[in-house]
Amino acid sequence: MKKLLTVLLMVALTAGVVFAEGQQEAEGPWSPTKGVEWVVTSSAGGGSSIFTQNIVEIMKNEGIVEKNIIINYKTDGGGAVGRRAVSMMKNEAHTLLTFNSGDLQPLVTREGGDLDGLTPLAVMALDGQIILANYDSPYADMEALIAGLKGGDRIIVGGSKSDDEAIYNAMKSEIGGNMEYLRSDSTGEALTQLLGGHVDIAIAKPAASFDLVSSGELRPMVSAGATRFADPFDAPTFGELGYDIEFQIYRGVVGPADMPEEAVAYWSDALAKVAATSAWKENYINKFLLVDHHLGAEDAKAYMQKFEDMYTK
Amino acid sequence: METITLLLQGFGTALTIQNFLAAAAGAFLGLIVGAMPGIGSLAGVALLLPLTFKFNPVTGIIMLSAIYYANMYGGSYSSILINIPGDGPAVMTAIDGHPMAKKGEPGKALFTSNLSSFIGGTIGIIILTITGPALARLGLKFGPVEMAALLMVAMTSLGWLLGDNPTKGVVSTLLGVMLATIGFDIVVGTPRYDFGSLHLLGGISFIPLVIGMFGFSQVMEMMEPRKQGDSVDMKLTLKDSILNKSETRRLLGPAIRSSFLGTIIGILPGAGATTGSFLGYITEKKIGKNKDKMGTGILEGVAAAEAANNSAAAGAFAPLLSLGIPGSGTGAVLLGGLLMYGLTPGPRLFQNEPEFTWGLIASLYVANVITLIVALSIIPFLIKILKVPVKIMVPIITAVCIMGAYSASNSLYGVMLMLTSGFAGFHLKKNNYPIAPLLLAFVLAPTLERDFRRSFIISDGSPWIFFQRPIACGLIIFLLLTILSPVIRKGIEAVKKSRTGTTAQ
Amino acid sequence: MKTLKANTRVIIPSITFILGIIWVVYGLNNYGWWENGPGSGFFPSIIGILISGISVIAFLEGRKMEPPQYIKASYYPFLAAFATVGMAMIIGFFPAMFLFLQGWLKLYEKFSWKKSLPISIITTAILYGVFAMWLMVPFPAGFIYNAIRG
Repeated sequence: MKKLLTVLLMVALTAGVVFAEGQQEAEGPWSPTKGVEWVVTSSAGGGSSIFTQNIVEIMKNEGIVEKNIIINYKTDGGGAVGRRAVSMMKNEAHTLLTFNSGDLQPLVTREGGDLDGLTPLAVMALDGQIILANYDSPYADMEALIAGLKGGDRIIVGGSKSDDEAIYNAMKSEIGGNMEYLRSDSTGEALTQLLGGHVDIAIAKPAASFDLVSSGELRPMVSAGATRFADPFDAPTFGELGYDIEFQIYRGVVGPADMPEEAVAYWSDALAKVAATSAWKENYINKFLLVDHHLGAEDAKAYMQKFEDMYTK
Repeated sequence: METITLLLQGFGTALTIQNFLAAAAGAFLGLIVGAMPGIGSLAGVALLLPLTFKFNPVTGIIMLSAIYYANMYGGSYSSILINIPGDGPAVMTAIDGHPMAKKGEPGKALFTSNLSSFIGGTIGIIILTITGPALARLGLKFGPVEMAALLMVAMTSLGWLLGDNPTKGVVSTLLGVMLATIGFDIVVGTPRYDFGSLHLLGGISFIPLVIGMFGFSQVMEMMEPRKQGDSVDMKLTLKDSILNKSETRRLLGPAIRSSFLGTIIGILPGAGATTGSFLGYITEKKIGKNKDKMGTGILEGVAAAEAANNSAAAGAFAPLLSLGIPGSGTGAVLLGGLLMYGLTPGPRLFQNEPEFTWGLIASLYVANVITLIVALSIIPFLIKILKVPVKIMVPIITAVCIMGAYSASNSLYGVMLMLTSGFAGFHLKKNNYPIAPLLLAFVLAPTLERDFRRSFIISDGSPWIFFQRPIACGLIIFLLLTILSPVIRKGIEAVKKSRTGTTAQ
Repeated sequence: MKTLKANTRVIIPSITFILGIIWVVYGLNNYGWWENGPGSGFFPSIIGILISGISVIAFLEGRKMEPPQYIKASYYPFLAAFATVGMAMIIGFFPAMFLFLQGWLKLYEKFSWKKSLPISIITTAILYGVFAMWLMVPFPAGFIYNAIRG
């Protein structure tokens, strides 16, 4: 019985290889030959899911990709299992993975993986972070807070478990003082802590805190990016305050390491087309207050590599 | 006064034929999806959300709320009928709901569940309407310190569920706590007890665990030669499903009490519907009229759990609408849905878009009523499931367990986890280890641990923080009193006895 | 009726005892007990100590009690489910599901083809319709299908 199964399997596999090769030789530039699976390693409804859904919708509506794309939420092991599964795929052209800086960090720090296991296809957008305080905070601005820290005040910093922690670490080493980090599952949870006065300041993304800041519930203290945000998030950058802290997080797309070259070119091109549409700029970038910043496969690789170096050092 | 005018206007916009049909369709689909084990309300709402985009905003939101409610309703169906809770809150429903079905009262169990869900939802929305954003502000007062104190109170109440053999009950509870410690430790940001496995790194997923522990272990039990009277042979008609007057009266007390409790729990950040239904149930077990029969299949148990669960879901709308902060994964999806309609929940929502907001609250009422009607009308079809012979049920439930476990995270690992939990659950049950405390401890313990340790971060290592915050201090004193009350009572009795003893001499 | 002999009344507490010890050892050695507040291993270690202690009591109680009876048939669904998962990886999820249902009804319950086929076809069709088509859960198509489709 076992032998029979093995034989059957071998036949099927050989047949598959022959078929696959036959198809590739027949055409000029590569395009998907079957349905595409797009893996998202966080749950439906979150930031990555909105990002992916927007791209898929535009690909479909604008006729950029003809074949059907199915979004597959693989959340086991905090996303580790999905990332590992994609990176192990051999000669796979029909699998994509949403891959943000928040995914890269656990990949290199906890899961023993690195970018060599993946093929970056694009960076689609950048997201900034802002540090907020409650409206009734005793610290009028960041300078007052830093003065407080130097004077021995204890400051509890709230933020999410992924990207935000890097900023806290930088603050701790650059500014120093009696600071402690209260890690939350999500930015929403961190903002709840801040609104309730259980933390002194919180690190957040503008999109998640837009209404709270524009209504005056929360105050922007300092921007973690290279430049100031527009109103209502207008606050000095760390650079202006004289500290060498500058962070930006990216939202990107990757494929398995062993993705055929033609497919890499195809996807890089398709994602570039998406980034150029007005639907992308209006319904995604502007709506969620992101920074429009598209990079093709080659540049994305170099860009993500910089992040990997930062996380591993 | 202005509020009421706005609300009536909201009803004006909400009550049209088109909205009614959209809500009915949403309710029907939501019930089906909610009844599928493995597809909880989070996945259900996320999967059905795109359907609502085809309509104008008001219709779309009514349909969305109907889907949300119906998902919550549907979750109790599989708990009652086949003892497989589809999600966390439904675990408490199964404790009394499934025994009711076994006793030949599946229709009544379903009816109780639907009616109490309706009461819970209605009371939750009414509280939301009256207090509005103010309530969400109150919820914010519950930070890590207060939540830790609250959960300590909740955990000590687990004792009420331990069953006949306390030793085994405690082993079960602790096992649940241990399983929950596996994975990423949020407080320090490092993994623990993952033993090098990528799957364990993210922790044990709850849904495959529940499906295995309840559902699959049950399949294994079904293989044993059946005792007489185990299958439901009696005639099941719609008439038998309708509660009579005295039953309705029995239902009201627990349902209303639980609804108030559930709404408050729902508003607290990070507490959720599972904590709500759990606290609703144990409150009833402590103070209810039929408290001794709880767990044997009485409708008070179902009513308390379901009303609390649905009112907690309604309560969770308060922080969502007035602060723009989703209290749960499902809340995040709903928030996404509202954003799509150009509605930005947050502090300015009630001021800037009063019509839309009150229209939404009116839609919640309308959706709740329609969901109740749809849910009640499908009871006769549902109870037929119990008439399917066990021989056929075994392979079908097995197939459903596999599908559900797979769909929870789209992986065969989920199926493996489900089968392992089923194997473990079967042997635990055979040896009279209760399963419900294990699963509840699994849900409650991580929040307790996390907020307990966060409290120490806030206080810089001082345990006195639990007595410095008024809410936390009150809860801790309550906790100490409940623990010490038996001791004090015994002490008083001993003193009395010795006194009567001396007087007798 | 075939019965199995294994005294799970003492096996279960033994397993929980060992798990408790593992939790304590890892908790104390690897994860930290107290660093200006309870550390990562604080909670699990306490739980580990408690469960080990109570397992000893459960063990002693269990030794006095009559062990529960097990029959072989209880394990058939478990084994069949494992086989189905294995099959799913090769021939795809729904064909495996169908084969499981049909095989079970025909081989174990000894139903006739006429009675069993409609049940397994309809069940598979409903599951496919709800989960795969409507909810769009991506199920594995199996090695064979993947190989043929490239």
